[in-house]
Order: sequence, then structure tokens, then C-alpha cells
Amino acid sequence: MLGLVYNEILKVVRKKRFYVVLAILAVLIPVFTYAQYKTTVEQQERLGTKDWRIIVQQEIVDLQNRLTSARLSDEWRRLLQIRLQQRQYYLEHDINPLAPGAVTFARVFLERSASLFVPLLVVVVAADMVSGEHTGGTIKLLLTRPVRRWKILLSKYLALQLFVSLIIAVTVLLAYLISGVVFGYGGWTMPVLTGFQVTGEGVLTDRVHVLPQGLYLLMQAGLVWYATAVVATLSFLLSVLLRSTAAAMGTMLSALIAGVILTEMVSSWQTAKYLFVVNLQLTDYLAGNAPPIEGMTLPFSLAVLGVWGAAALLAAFWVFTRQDMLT
Amino acid sequence: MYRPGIIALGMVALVLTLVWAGGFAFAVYDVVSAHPPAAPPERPSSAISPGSDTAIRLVGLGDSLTRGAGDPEGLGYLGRLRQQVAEARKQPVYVHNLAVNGYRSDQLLNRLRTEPAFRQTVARADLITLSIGGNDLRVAAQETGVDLAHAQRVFDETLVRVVQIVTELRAINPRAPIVYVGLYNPYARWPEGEAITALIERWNAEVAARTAHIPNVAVVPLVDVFRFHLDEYLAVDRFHPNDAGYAAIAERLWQVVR
Repeated sequence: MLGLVYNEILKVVRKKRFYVVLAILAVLIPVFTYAQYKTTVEQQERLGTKDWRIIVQQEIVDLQNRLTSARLSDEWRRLLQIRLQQRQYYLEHDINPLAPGAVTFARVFLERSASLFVPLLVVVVAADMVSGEHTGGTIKLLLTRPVRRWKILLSKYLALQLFVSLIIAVTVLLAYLISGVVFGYGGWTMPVLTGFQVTGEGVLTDRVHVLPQGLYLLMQAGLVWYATAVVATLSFLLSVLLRSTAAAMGTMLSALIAGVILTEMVSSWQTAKYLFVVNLQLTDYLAGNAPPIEGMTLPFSLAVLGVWGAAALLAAFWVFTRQDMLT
Repeated sequence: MYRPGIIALGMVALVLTLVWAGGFAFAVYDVVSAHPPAAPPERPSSAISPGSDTAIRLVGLGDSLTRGAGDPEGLGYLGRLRQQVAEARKQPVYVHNLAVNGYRSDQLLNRLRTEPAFRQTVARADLITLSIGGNDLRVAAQETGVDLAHAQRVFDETLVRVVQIVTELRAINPRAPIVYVGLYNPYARWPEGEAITALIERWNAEVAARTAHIPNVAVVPLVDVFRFHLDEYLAVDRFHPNDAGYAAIAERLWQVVR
């Protein structure tokens, strides 16, 4: 079995898809770093200060100004109010939520990429796992070996999950290393507030507590890992079903992008919370952002994602062990 | 036959998987489990960050006039005043615009009394500009229409609060000049325009009279600035000043504070 997994890792490395992922990250992270840098500098110039208290205070005033607009939708108003209350909490407890530093950048970057960017990178690898064998015609060679089909599929799946872990690690590592050139490599022990509970009325702060940012980053990566593993499993199923890398990738891509659009729109469509794409932003529960649909909780999202993943995995094995490979 | 590079990659990936699983477990535990209320972290002994710089700080408080509503350039009078001060003094000038659109005197007074960060910013100011009261009066006028007794009551109450605000500002910051930016009359062309102008003139004069005993306070009435230039100075909403209007206000304030 280990030999089979080794083979599958070797195949992924040979196909250079993992390098594509690395290249995407190596190009995009400097772009985001620069954007973040410009934002920080511009903010400091406009306010004429580097004092974060004044920047946060200005944010509070800006939020209050936006809240006075009569044309604000109720969802937006609630969102802005939550952000306002959090900012006030930070100010009152003298914690800088914007402290520059590579760890902060990595944390924010991972949070922003949790529901689309990291899953997309994983899809690049996952969509090819099985269908690549069809396209290359190597599937017959593979299946004529005296190994049970389910073992072959399992080795592919395990290799894929190893690459999921690698991709998340590389994302965090590159974000840290590249942004550190500009922002400095500090910030591991900076206190981050977590435990905001979003309710219909606003934010409860009685369970708010402080974590060092390094630990927060690890927890965040763990949540991203879980969500991404489920996306990888679904892509894996599509790769088995569609036998074409492009089709599998396209399908998964549109599902993910549709998910991003849906999360903006679904707040009144209750049953949409059973779709996996709406549940991908697990980091929201950690950061205390409002979930896309009221009443969604972390255990709920984990369960939904888990059911989707398990069903996809079962379906993949069921189909793969029965498929007629000659066509 | 196995390539050590690939085996190492697999091992690293396996370890990472365990690491992420650990982080995941930690995160779930942290979100789901009940935490005792956190003790607030200790505040540093000096709540104000080191003011080692020699910059001039302008602090704007109040309503949309100070906010700069209607200015397509988003500077407002405060941003333009900053440019003038910076040019004349050859020093960095920081602007802290804490004004909120639609603010009334009770909201500002409450904030000034309860929000420590707000007070800190005021305490460090080198110049404080303030525009407040206009929304109180306008809302009262729209609500009551003809009820003159009620309008007079709101007028008096607001006046008291404005004086309280200025007193509070003086207590927080004994040093910086305070400039009260008076009201102008955007409705001068209305049939009731003359009556409103009279009211606003009375308001500006009352604020000046009632704050006369507080040191280092100036009231700048704007009725005169806008009197002959209404079309020129008003934004498309016919209520807030436009960029030319804000430039005129900044010019007027510069004459006062330079």
C-alpha cells in the first residue's frame, strides 16, 4: 500500500501540477503584499499617523457614518454593526487588530483565501488524480497490475490528501516568508481576540478570550484544512466520474465560485445552508464574523461538510470499482 | 528504486497532516467549548501612545459639515485647512476627523463623556473644530412645523448642550483653541428663508454669547460666507456645501486660527 501511495505522489510531482500551484502562489502573494503595503501607507498618510488607536477610531467613525445611510440593507447594517462592536472591543482592551507583521499577513491572507483560493489550488491537483489516467491512456496499464481496484483508488486518495496538507503549508509559509520582507517577521505572540458570538441581536462578548496569533494561525489552518479536504474529496469524485481533467476542474470551479456568490445572497434562503459551498468559510466562526445564514454554527458546518465528503468518497469507490474501463 | 526526495515529501506531508489535524481539533474545541470570561489584558500605564513627534493635530468633531459631506474630493473644510496649516507652518499636520453624518448634540456629548479613546484624541489636539446643533434644530423644525413653543424648547435645550460640549472639551484639553463652526442657511431662497436666516443668526450669536466665558473659544458664523454665494457653494443636495463651499469655510477658519 505504501508503495502505491509512493507511486501516486511521484506521479503528481512528475506531472508538475504541484509546481503550477507553487508558481501561482509565488506570483500572487507578492501582489497581495504590495496591495496591503499600499493600503497601510495610504491610511497612514491620510490620517497623518501611525497610531493604530487613531486608525481604529477612524474606522469606527467611518462605520458609524456608513450606518447612518438610509439605503443600507438590513444584512449589511448587521454586519457593519458587528464589525463596529468588535473594533470598539479592541480599542477598549488596547489590542491592535491591524498590527503589521508577516504573521498577521499570513493570518489575514489565509482567512481571505479559505473559501475560494486555497480550494482552487487543491482542485488543480485533485481534478487530475483519476481522469489523468484516462486522458493519458495509462488507466489500463494501472488496472492490469495484480492489485485490487479499491487499493489503487485508496492510494490515489491518500496521496491527494497529503498534497492538500502540503498546499496549505506552502500557502502559509510563502505568505509568511514573502510578506515578511516588507512587514517584518514578527507577530507570533501578538494577542488576537476570538470567541465573539454572533447572534441575531449583535455580538456577545462574554466568551471572548485572547490567543497568541501563532496559535490562532494554526487553528485557522486546521479549519481550512478540513474544508479543503472536503473540496478535494468532491473533486476526486468528479475526476472519477467525468474522466476528463478539464471537465472535472471546470465543474468544481463553477461550484466554488457559485458558492462565493451564493454566500452573499442566501441569507433569506434557509435550506441553502445544506450546500457544501456555503459552509466553506469555517474561519468565520473563529473570527466571529456573521455566518452567511443565521443560525449556522461550527458543528453544523462541520457536519454538512463531513456528510458531503463521506458521500463523495463512497460514490467514488462505488463507481470506480464497477466502472467499465475499456471505453 | 524509491527516490528519497519523494519519500521525504510524503513524510513531510504526513507530519503536516497531523499538524493541521491538531490545529483543527484545537479550533473546534476553542469555538465549541465554553470559556470563562477573559480577564481584560492590562492596559499600558500611558494610554496615549508616545507623542514624540512635533506634528500639529487638528481634531474635528460634530456632524456632516465637519465630516465633509457633499465634497466630491472628500476633504471637507478640515482637509483643506490642514493643507493651509501645513503650508504655513512647514510641519506635518495630522487630521482626526471624528465627525459623524447626522450627529446631534446629545450623541456627541454622550460620546465625549463615555468614550475614553475619543477623549484621548481630544486631549492631544492642537486645534479643535466643532460643528453641532444643526441637526437638532433641523429635525425639530421638520417634526413640529408650526409648533413654535416646541421649536423654542429644542433651541434652548440644544444651546445648553452645545455649551456643555464646549465646556467638556475645554476640561479635557485646556490648551488647544476651540473653533465652533456656526450654521449657515442653505434655505435662504425658500419662502421662509428670511425667518430661518434670523433664527440661524440668533443661534450663532447665542452660542458666541454663552461660550464667551470659556477661554480660547471662537465662534465663526457662516451665514455671511454663504449669503451671496448660495448657488456657487452648495452641493447638488442643496444642503451641504460643495468643494467651493468647503474651500470658503476653510479660508474663513484660516483667517481665525492662523
